[in-house]
Amino acid sequence: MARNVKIKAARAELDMTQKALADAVGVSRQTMNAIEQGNYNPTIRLCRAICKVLGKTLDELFGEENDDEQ
Amino acid sequence: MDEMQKLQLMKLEEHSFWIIFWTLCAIVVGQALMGAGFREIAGELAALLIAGGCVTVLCLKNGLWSVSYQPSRKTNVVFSAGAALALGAVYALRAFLVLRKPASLELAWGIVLPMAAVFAVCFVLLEVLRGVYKRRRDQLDDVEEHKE
Repeated sequence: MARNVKIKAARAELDMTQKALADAVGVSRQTMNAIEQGNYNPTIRLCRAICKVLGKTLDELFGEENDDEQ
Repeated sequence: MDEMQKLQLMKLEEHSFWIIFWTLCAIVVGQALMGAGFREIAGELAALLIAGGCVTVLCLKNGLWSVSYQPSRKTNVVFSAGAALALGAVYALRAFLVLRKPASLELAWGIVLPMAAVFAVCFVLLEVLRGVYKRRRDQLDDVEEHKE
């Protein structure tokens, strides 16, 4: 599974740590790290929560172009 | 606990369940080979039947069959034959290695007849379950279609 660098970039824009984002969406840092590393496919509910916190759309964070990134 | 941790826990529980299930199977076979009677293995058999029965009923209720195999008469024949061969192997090992019985026609029938019985029971049971599964699958698909 490809790494999701878009979440990391969106976090950096807001100067947000992985822990802060994890707390904001109600998951552990381990889970947030797994999502960013591409080791876990989150549910659509969690995807939407992440998008809401980061102020991005589903397409911007989880769009198809993420599949090409390594 | 978040969704990934719940998923991990469910996977661990699933693996643990199958480890316990097959370990119990091995224990039952081992005890039978060592000459244990029905009374000695009744507890383990009851646990296996309850676990297997629960999984079967819940899977059928949710319209699930198997991850690896399609429900078909051919696979049912193969698995029934596998169960019969496994029983035959246990009976033969027990007769020759544990009870030290000499080979005879009577002994051969004593192994072949239970094997045939297990094959027949397994095959009929699997065919009945396949029918139940198909009906349940149609039912679930029909409900989902009407909801759309």
